[in-house]
Amino acid sequence: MTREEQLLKAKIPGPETGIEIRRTMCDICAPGAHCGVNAYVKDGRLLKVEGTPGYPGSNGKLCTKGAANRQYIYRKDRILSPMVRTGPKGSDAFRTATWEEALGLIAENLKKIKAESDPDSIVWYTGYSKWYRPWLKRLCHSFGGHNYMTESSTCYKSGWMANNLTFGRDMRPDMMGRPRLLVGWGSNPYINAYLAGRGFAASKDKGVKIIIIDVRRTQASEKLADLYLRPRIGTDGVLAHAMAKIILDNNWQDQEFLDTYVLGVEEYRRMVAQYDLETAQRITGVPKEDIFRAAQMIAETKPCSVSTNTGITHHKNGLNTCRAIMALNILIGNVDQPGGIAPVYDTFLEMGAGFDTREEEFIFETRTPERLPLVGQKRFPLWYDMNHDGQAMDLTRQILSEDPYPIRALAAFGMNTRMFPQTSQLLKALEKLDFMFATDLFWTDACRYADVVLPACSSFERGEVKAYPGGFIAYTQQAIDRVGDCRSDVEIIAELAKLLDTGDELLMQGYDACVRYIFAGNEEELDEARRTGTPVRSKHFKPTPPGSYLAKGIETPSGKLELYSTRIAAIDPAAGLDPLPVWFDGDNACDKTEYPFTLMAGARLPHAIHSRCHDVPWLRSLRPEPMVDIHPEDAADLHISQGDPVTVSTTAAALHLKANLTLSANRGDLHMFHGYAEANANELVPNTENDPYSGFPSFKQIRCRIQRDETSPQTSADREEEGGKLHEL
Amino acid sequence: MKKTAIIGFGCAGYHALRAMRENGYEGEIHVYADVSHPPANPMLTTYYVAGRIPYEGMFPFGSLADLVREYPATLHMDTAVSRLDTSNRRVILSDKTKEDYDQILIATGARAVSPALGKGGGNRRFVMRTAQDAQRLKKLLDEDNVSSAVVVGASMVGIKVVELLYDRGISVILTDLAPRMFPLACMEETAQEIRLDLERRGIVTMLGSGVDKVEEYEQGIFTYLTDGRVLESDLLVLCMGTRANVELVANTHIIRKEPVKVNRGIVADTHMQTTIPGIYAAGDCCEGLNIQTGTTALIGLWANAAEQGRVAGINLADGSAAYDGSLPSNITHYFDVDFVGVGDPDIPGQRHVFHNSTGTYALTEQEGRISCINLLGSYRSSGMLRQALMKIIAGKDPEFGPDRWGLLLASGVPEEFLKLMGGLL
Amino acid sequence: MSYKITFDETKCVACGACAIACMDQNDILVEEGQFPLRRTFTRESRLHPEEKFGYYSHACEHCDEAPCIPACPSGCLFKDPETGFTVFDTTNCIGCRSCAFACPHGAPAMGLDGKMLKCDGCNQRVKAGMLPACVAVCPFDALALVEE
Repeated sequence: MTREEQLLKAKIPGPETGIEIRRTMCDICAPGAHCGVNAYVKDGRLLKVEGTPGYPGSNGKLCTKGAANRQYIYRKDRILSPMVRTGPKGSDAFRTATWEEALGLIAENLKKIKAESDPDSIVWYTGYSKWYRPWLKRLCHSFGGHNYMTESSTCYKSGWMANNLTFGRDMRPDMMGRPRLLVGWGSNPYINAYLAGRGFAASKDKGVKIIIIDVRRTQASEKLADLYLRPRIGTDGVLAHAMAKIILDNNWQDQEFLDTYVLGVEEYRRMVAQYDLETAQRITGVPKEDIFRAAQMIAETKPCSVSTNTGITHHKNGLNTCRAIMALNILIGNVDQPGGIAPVYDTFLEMGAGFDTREEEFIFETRTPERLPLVGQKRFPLWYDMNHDGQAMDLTRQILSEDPYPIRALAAFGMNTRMFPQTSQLLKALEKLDFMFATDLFWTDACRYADVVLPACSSFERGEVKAYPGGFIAYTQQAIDRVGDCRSDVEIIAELAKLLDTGDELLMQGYDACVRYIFAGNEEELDEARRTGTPVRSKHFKPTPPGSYLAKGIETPSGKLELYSTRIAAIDPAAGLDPLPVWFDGDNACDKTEYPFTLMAGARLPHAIHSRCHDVPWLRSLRPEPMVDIHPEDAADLHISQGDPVTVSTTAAALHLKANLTLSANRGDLHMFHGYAEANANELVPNTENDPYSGFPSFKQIRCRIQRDETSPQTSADREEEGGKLHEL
Repeated sequence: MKKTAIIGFGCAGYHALRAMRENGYEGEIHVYADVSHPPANPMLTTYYVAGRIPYEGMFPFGSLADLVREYPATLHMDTAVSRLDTSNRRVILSDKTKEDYDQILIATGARAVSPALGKGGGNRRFVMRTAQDAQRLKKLLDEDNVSSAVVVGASMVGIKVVELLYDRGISVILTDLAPRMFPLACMEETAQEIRLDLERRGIVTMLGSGVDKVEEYEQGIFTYLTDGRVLESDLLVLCMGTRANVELVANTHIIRKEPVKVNRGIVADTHMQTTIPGIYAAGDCCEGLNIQTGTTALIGLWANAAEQGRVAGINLADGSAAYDGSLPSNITHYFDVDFVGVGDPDIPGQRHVFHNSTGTYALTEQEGRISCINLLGSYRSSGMLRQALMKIIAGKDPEFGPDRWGLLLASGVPEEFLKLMGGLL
Repeated sequence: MSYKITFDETKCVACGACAIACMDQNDILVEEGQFPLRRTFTRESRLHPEEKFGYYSHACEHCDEAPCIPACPSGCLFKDPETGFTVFDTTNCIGCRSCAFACPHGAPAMGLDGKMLKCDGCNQRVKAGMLPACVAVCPFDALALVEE
């Protein structure tokens, strides 16, 4: 090989190879990270990715998924041009179309349905990625609609609601304030948010104590925890209440703080009084010594921060569990204190960056008064009260039942149908629609049910503005040639704004004009960030010092931190919602001898997020087959060996997959990752098991059984089989 | 200035020369070789005949000129040494020329033999060891219309010859006196699998029958087997084994009081010194430590020759190095098959065989001690398992920490196999 | 000068980012059956009561006295004098697997062309003053490039 060939093979950037490094960002996961990426590009094609050193947050690092951006972007099933359906719904019978034809068809159908029925018979749904959400929501409003809903109907928002109910704002650990004890409840930051994982690991190196509470043994329980508590699935609320009782019984609470800032202390005290250590140990399975020790550490170590993750909210009692856990922060007076939990002020796209934007105005200024109840409004009144969006978990029911009115059309942006419990019912509902269009990078199940499909592009193929903590504004530019004839979601939205006769001038002007509207006062920063490819700090950046939230006034209805929620108390009592974070058994009702195990769908894998990474061969190679995690002793009882084909069944469905024996699963529990085409874990989750407070499905607590497949060929070849029996020489 | 002779210029000779220069030896080095080409690898001959590497590809250390530039030495090519006067460290050439040295390394290698077979066979009889052997066979295959062949010797060389003939569309019969494939490396169970696989490909195997004599006739060659069968073919390749080239120092006890000890090879200690101080031996001509038996033995492997040459070279350069010993170890890749054998398959014990999607894993175990492993179908774990078995046989902990255990599992090794090897749960 | 890629077990969680970065750098076609040059894995020790999870990342260790080098019958493997990495030129590789057999760490594998392939320490990148791909990406700093 010549030197030039060697350099080219090694992808060394420079004039010799013609390889250029361009700045962009990864948007495979949620906007909490959106790591800076150095894209190695030659002739418009991506050759390699690397983290951008010095980038806010990620600072040169990428996670497992982000490192696979090249194969993700060039996935074999990227949609290359607009498509129009020619065969039955659910099939792959489509023809290519021009953008003009495809967008024309969409506009024609939506305008017709709006005229015939009501704008709210059209649902605007969006999944990943989240970058264009304000634009889509504004389009829905400008078109006269309100039935906008997102995959946040199953993700993040329940915790956000819990915190808003209790604190008046979302809350996060104040890592800058140097907590001395971190309680990660249902948290495996290494895998679900690696930057938080770095933060935890760095804290541990500095001597910070860490308690991990999780039903699964994870990298966090093994590497981080000074104390690890493993409750039974769905009993975290009991554990939190028992700790609260210990703190109150021993008078370890910050009474002055409670007296000054908190509403409902006595009601709360009476509620937790039922959870003595014996009871708690019996229900949770956690040794009472450990419960006591955890409560003591939380009470005695100052400052301390207790935080939760989304997983904890995927239970029928999820929102209350989240409130129960976060209430511990109140008892010890660690709210809005350095190193405790701190309020979050969103700047843009659910990220707090320390300055204000006009995102809210942008989204809501074209909204008209509602005429019809939104999807899920009746069934999940608290959700509606706090979000004023549709709750997508009621979409399947409403389409199929037409109660309270028919849904006729669906605009599906990045819709992952496998995020919906009992997905097959949603697909049945989609079949019933008069019109549906989908935008996506990849040829998904949702695309198969659409009448028109539009190809969207990845973050590398367009520009994007992001705000990062510390006041940073990033504004990327397109780094590589687009794959096929794809367009950015916002280009599509702007085009639709025209064709749908919204008259929304700003939206029609496109992305840059909207961004300048939203980030008014930061024009120079936007220009500089775009020109240099390097995030720029806003001149309006102003950190919020701890204590200022309490001083300024707590944003709950009562102006107090609410252990007793006045907001819930104001909801129609017919909904049966309790203003206190009461615990109840979230198990779905069925024969426990027939379904002796508890299924937890969605336990994170480092190389997957929802369904989008399963078809990236590099990532798939790290765990090639869908597997169900089972405790080795449970497996032994059922004569299941590593890699054996098994069937997992619930009252809703049965799935065939492979067994993975691991101590990560507690006895009696099964864990599965979701989103696989050939083994869709969420199909197992009945579409009726939802948290009445948030509407979130009970992804992480469904009774099930598991058995070895006797009929399938034995692949446990991967261990001893007939030939492996011992015999004398 | 010190003077060193290296007799023979193959793998061991090359590595000795290199190690001497890399370890600061500044004296003269004279290299004697009875060929004109650079150090060759006998293992590459079949690849050359198969057309998978060019002629130069058989000489892995490059040209003589490059070699000498990097590691200076005086080369005496095409120069046969007929005898060593070990007491005087004197090299006697075939033209009776004598040269005295301060130290001598014998690295004369080994040659292919066909014991008890007489001389019959003429131009249709081949062996496969040297570059010349390879050229000769390649010429015949390229120029003549060969349609059938008999290969004698179910050995590592034999199988590669079978493969290259088979790939040329020649029908092949493989015979061996031994009743099983790779008799020096292979257990019966794996040997049977290998044989069945060959038969499935249409290669006829006749194991357990020796060859009595061979005879050339106008159209081909007859091979007479000991069981009475007579095979007729266009050519015959004998891959029956090698013999160490020890003649330079053989029978030294007759004329000297201090003989160079020679068994099947020249016996060397762990410093690769023979029983005569100042006379060293390395490579296929010599017996080094077999860690399984604790005695010295011929273990003719390229990597052994390299290591022995390196150790000898360091000691010749007044350094201090010791040869750790070796174990009969073989890996071969033919068709799409990987076979690995480590240790002596004839040591009795309990046989454990496992199959999985990556292949067959077999081992012999006696009272918890492992004496031999066979792998069929996967090479990924071979180095790790060989290393582990070497440690086990040396009485050491195989050091199956969780990292190693995990890596072996990830490479496809069955958990039960690892447990037997002595790994932790 | 000699470089090594070191691994700190206490920091690794076997997330696989290093393996993916390696695949991206080296264009590994796993979908066609090619082996990755760096592997990560989790090992659970199930000896009661000391159940333990170990997380690992593994590739060629670039041994000082690399046994694969003398084992190669074709002389394909050698040390780069500038970096000390065990590198290769497989022009004459015959696919015999002797390197894999000699390696106590299971590093060499065969590429789709039947020739040896293994980690070269991102030799050209290191020569150009950059980090090996796996080291650059490692989210938890378990891998490092050190100069010995």
